[in-house]
Amino acid sequence: MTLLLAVIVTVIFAVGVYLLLGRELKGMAMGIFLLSHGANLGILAMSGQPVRLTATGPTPLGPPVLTEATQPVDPLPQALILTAIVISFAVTAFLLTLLVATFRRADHLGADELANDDRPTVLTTP
Amino acid sequence: MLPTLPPNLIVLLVAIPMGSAVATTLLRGWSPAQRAVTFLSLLATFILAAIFYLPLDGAGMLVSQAGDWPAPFGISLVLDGLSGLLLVAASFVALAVYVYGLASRDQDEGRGWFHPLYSLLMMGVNFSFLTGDLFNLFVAFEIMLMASYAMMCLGGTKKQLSQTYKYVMLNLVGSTLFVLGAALVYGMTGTLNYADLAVRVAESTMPGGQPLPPGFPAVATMLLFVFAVKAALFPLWFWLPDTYHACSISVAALFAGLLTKVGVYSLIRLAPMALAAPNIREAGPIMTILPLAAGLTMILGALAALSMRETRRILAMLLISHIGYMVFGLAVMTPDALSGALFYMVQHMLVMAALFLGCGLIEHHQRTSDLAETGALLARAPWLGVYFFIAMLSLIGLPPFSGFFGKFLILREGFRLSGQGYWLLSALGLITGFLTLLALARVWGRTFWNPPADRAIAERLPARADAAAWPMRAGLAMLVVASLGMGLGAEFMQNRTGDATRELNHPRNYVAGVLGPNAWPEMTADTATPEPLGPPVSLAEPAAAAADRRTN
Amino acid sequence: MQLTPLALIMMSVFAPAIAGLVTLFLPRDRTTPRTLIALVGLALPVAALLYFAQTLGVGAVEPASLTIPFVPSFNLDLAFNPDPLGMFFALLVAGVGTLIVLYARAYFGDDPDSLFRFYPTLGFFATAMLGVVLADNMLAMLLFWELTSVSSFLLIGWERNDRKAVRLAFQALAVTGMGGLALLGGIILLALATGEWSFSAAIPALAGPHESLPAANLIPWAFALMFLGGATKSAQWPFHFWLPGAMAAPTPVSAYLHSATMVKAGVYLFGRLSPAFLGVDFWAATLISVGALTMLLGAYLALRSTELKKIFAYTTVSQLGLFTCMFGLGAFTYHDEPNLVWPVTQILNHALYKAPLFLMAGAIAHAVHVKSLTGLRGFARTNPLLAWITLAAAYGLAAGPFTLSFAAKEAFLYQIYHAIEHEPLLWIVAGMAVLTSVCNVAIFVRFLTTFLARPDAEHAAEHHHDHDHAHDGWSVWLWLPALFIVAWQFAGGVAPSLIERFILPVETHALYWSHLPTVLDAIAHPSPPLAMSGVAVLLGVLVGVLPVLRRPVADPHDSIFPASVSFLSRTGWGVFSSIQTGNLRHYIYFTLTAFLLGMIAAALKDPAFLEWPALASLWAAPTGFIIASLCLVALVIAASLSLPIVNSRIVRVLMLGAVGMSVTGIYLIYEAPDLALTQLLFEIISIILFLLVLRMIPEEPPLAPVTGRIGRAAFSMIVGLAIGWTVLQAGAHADSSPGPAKLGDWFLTHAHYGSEQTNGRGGGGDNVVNVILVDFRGYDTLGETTVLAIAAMGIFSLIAAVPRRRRDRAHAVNPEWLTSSLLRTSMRLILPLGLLFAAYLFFKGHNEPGGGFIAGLVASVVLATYRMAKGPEALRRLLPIKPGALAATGLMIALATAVAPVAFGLPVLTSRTGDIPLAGADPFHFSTVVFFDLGVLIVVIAVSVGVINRLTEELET
Repeated sequence: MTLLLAVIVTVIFAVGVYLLLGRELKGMAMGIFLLSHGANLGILAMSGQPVRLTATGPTPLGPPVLTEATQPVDPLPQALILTAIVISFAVTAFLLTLLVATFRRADHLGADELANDDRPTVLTTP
Repeated sequence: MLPTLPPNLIVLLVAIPMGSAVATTLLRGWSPAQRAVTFLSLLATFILAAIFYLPLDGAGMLVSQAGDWPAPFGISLVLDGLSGLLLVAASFVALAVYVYGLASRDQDEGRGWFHPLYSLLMMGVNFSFLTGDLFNLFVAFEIMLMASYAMMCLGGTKKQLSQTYKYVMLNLVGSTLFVLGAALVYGMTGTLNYADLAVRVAESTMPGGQPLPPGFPAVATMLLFVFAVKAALFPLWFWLPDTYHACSISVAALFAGLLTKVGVYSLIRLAPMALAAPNIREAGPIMTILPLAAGLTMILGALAALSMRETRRILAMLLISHIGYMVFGLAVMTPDALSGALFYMVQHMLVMAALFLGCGLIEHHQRTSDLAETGALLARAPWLGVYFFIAMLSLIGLPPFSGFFGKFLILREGFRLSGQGYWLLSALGLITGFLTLLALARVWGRTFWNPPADRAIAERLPARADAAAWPMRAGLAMLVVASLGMGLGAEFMQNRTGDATRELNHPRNYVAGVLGPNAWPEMTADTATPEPLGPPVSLAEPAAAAADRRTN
Repeated sequence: MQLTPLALIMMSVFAPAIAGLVTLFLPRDRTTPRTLIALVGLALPVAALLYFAQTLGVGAVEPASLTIPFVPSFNLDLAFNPDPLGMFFALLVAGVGTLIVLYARAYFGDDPDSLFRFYPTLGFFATAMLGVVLADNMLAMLLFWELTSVSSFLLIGWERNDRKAVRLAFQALAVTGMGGLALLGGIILLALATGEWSFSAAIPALAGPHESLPAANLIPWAFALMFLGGATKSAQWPFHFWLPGAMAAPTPVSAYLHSATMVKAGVYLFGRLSPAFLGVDFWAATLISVGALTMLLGAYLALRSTELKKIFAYTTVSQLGLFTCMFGLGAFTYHDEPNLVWPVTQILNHALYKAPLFLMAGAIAHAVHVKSLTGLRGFARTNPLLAWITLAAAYGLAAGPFTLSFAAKEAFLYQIYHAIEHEPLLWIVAGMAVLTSVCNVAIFVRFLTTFLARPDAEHAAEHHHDHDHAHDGWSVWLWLPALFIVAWQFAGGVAPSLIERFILPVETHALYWSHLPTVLDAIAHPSPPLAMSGVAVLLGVLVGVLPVLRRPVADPHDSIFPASVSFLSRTGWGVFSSIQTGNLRHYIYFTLTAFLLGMIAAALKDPAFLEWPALASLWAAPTGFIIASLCLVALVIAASLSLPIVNSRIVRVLMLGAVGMSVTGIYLIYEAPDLALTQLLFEIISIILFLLVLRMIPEEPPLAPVTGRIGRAAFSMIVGLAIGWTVLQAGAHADSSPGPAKLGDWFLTHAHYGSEQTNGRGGGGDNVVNVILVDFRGYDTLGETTVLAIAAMGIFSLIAAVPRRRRDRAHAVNPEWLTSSLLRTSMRLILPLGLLFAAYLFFKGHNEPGGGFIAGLVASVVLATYRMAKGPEALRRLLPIKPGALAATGLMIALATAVAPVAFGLPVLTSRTGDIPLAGADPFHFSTVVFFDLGVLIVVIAVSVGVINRLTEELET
């Protein structure tokens, strides 16, 4: 399972970075959004396998709710992910609004087009 | 005599800004009340921080365990010599910048949202300094950054909006890796609490200790990367130069004073005792990366500053360049060097904020900070000239101004460890000082002395500073006077920073304070740091002793 | 009263600055008291130092007893040491300064503003300079040294409206500032090498055997840096160009700083260090060669200048070169003594003719408004007084017989002569010395011939009408100081004993020459040096009278500074513009490349990182389990891979949603019900947001086709691999047994019931994740809630600050389109049920999946749907409070709950749990954290509903 998660994280980060390297801010925002999924899954991998090999063979663990009979998985990564999800939601919402505002002022959302706005000037004399 | 408060009250340094943010949100549309509340809360934060910090002796610290749960299971807030000093400095800078803003138009931006956001940013900053938990640090960072995102584009102008998205996205990349990195640390060490982490790292190379898994250096590097993004080190500084000239001066000065420092603080806090703890220092790349980053940041930042034409951009690049000094101190990682880095960090907060406020007043008088258009300001605003000159000399690092002392200590340590090649960093540090001098002397000459290039501009300008702007000058004066005090009280400061950093490499007291007595594993020969090579530095000796040693 | 030595020294050093400050408090027009105060400020040190020398003796007092601690932990103390060298310079500084105060009063006339500015700066400088020459602690010396540079900067930039002056001030500060930094480095290295931070301790240590020193290997570097510091300050080639530039300053400044005192600081440093560095083999070579070159170059450029101040400035450069050369020659021995003859006297002698020359230049400019020699034909007739004083001083410049200069020059030539016995190559230096004095003599001859020549008509006329110049009582001080000073030249030349009486106590190396050589001694014992001077005089007169070498030339070195500034700026611009392209794509490339390099470095340092970790077998799980997870993995990968490929924005958003949903599935596999719920709900809201936003940003014209897709894909893949691999390593370790002792295990055991470690107190909840969120790690939750609220604030302020334009309205839609009558009617049912369900989740949260976040999200989704269906009015009726205020309230509740325990002396966030017995039902489990959770709930609702509502309004017509 850890391996599978690692694979997913790899793919998600790769695609996210690919989108981030695009030339169009909406795509980049999607990339960021994707990265947060990748990070969360990475955190999840820290709670170890949800299945443990015991003498009786593989036994799935239970959710971290004490009323359940089974032995629960490590709860802390889940708590961390919850926090991370909320924060990434907040950030995404702001980022999207920022894009709207940027578009209203700049009329385009291409990284290359925006790059030329308001560049500094050089001064070489004492 | 200062009252001694129960340690649990240190949470007020986070709660007061948060409360004032709530209040000012509810008070939106009634700006005088908002200003009063924010000002008072900032003042209270500063006074409280001072009351908490000043009585601390050498190894003293205040710890509050959240929820009354024993560390490392709950989240600990820690106010020790390091975080305490920075809290005092940060809250002072915030107060001064806010006072400046009272008279400027900056605070009317964003339809009353400025004030809550300002408080929330301070909440994030104080939280970052106080927390003793890696993941909680991530949360604190996010509070700070989220507020900064919003403040960066409060004006909603095209100038701001065509830059802010870079700031947001680059920091988001950093944050994503931060949250992942924190979790990876948990996966590898099973803890998130700084002190616990330090203990587990220290034990990892001890007989019977749980060894660190392969890849811990990589995770440490990942976190280093994250903090380096926040601290705007080369080659990760991109978000800073493009944005600091776009936002309003109050925002720029606050950011210049605080944001990057939080990244540096995290490095000073975590690198010596965990990420690059003495016993694993050789196993990881951090001690190779830090000197490179420090040197390149110092020199390239200063060179870039010299080429800029607007004072604001020059200051932004110098800000970056001088972060390099702190990282230099960190890279050497001897107690003295760390103490110098901390000293420099505090004075850099004050001086950088002061210079940005000065730049704001320049723009207030001349409508621009473009060196091709400014001039003859000294006649119009002599006091501004005096303040700017002092701040300038401090940043250049001339004695007896505050900038000299931290720098001196760092350079000395670099030269002392010439054997390990650190002399090169010291040389770069001296050159950086020279480039800083060039850049700022040019600003001074072209802004305060030269006649304005363009007569038309000269006529457009107001004859004298308008009286309404006195809070602006007051805010600037607060910072400059404080930095002067730092220079003249260098001995006091040095003792404080020395105490704060003496044990960063072997945080016995810190760990004991957080986890309880004798939680720190006693160092065996192989885990203790080797004595730093290079000649010992003779400390000042009693005059009499010196005398008779010379006579015989 | 009896003054302690320390008090005397402190008084001498700080009196000028204090007096200068006092003058600032006088009203601007009170010029006379202002002058008198400034005068006291500089006269006091003279008196104090003389008294000190008389009573305590020069160099007799231990520096240790003259120390005021400043920053002991940096070894920076105000320690002073009035030894011969220091005492001599101090008297020179204070003495000349006293006269300059009076001269300035006459020079500036009674222009109150100038005097108001001038005296404080002058006092500031005098204090700094006295500090430099008297300080024993090296860092203290550096401190004063830098202050002299700063004051010189302020004084050169005196004419603020003159761009040229400002630029020259900048140049001077840059050069001397560079020297100061070099000096700092040198001092640190010297101190590290010797372990001493004061001259009085370091120099003996250096003079002794180097084996005993802590780090002798640093000494050459220390020397190199300190030489750089002294050479820049004392205008040695190739840094000499700043000194003639400094002539932009008013004449009193030129006379004082830039000829008599400050520029000698470097020479002072060489004199101070010469005993120490005799061991360094290239000390002598460096000083002699650089000094001699500067000497000759300066003299030549002086000869080729016509402007008075320029001439004097270049001769100053020349003399400074001579002194440097002199201290270099001191490295050789003569009669087993350092080969130094009356060095202090030679330095004094320069002050005794150069200061008057500058003063007279100012006086002449004042009297006849002429600044260049060519304009002064016949000056001796039109203005004999000024002319003859000037000529007397110029005679000193020429080192004519019966002047102190003559003795000094003889001494120098003797010194070379002796040195040649050791090093024949030094004949070259001898030649250069002769050429130098040729130039000096020639300059004097030119002055003489010009002044005595018959005045041209127009000049004469000009002179006469200029004579009615401000002649108040002070104007005598325009020439009186010069006369007073130059008198000493001749006194010293005619009756050396006069000078010797003053000099001997402070003269450092006079031991094997009991007295100064006058011209008579020289003739009495003829020697090669005398012959050299003879030749020099003859040639000099020749060059002076012949019409050769008269056309002024510009010093090519003047372009060094602008060129280097421009070079550095261009370099900086090159660096800046090549990386700071303003293009986010490039920034992300750079950033991630740096990240990759870091990871690679880590892998190189710790190769085990690259080994395949020990993993529990993938197949060690129930089959259904495996199938489910494989399907989900495939789904995630497929969905995310499709993102870059598809073009339609809507499809992309849906694919994004697909990723989110499959991630939810993975959370379920990993036994994380709370996560799955939260993820699901946030996914829904996020997708709504994406769709809203995309609707607001109309499709743009397609961008030019992206090039380099392959490289981009490869790069992304590598980044992904680096991160995935690290995750794999950490995950494998977290999974290994015995893994690290995890906090998580403790949470499992303490979530509900405590242990003795917590005095039996537990979290009191069964849903461990929820207990962690609201209790163990409540700060995280408080923080994330705040972040949520901040995001809302940012969004509201941003939308308000950037209203939509007419063009955007064009894309607006009729709210009717967003909904359907079916939905509107079904709302009547959905709303109450949904809110009820939310409440249920909220209260169950502590023990079962649920809690504030999830409940809040459920409610938000319901309310959002309601708003879509019924429009803003309906929502406002339902939620009358503004979202911002609502979020604030939520935060307040959470904060209050968190901080309340502090009032009871408990730490923040301390919770209390209990069961409230209900008649005939299970006791109702209750915990104080419920309030905290309530705050969270409110914030979540306020933010998500508020934001969706606000953005939807933007879309509606």
